[in-house]
Amino acid sequence: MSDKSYLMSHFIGFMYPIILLIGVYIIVNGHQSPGGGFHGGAVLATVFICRYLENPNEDLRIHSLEILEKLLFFLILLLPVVLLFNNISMSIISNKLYLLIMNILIGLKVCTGLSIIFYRFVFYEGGGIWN
Amino acid sequence: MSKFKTIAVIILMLALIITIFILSDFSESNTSTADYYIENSEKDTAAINAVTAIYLNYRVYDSIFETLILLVSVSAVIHFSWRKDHE
Repeated sequence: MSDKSYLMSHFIGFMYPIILLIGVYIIVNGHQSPGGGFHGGAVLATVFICRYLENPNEDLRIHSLEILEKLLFFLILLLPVVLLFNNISMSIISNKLYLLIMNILIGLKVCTGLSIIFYRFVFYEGGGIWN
Repeated sequence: MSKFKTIAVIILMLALIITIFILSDFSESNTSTADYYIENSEKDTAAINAVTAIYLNYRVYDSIFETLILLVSVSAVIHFSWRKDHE
């Protein structure tokens, strides 16, 4: 009995691009249809969970993901401070661009945060049973 | 000890009943803010989805602190890990 299921690995390989496509669609169309950064980020984090199911190795650099998440939070803080809180009357196009960029930033941040939590729970919480 | 538990259960039940009584007080519903959002959100922010207009334009503090909550919970998960080595 091998430790990797043929059915799971092939089905996850089939589902990978579909999950990515749905997540990116939800994030990018957040200002036009139901969705947005938070939901799309949660869908994108599913890709990392599928990656663990298919290949449960600790070869992901979690520390760089943490640095990326802090950087993204700084950008999320910076963008409204620069654009919204300065009483600049934004036109239609610039506000649409602002919504798009904020949705993408929030989606990436939620994706990295949920992935970090998942991988920390999987690899760092054992209680001495497994090693 | 059982007397203690009985008193605690009675106090908890009273608190629950009072909370439900407070929360279910919908006698005078004020929907002026919701009406304003429904009428003017597309004109103000150019977002067809009114929810996005609210959480990225009108109430942007809310989404900033919501992302901060996720950052804090990630820090808590890292800090309280059973395995102490970091990478």
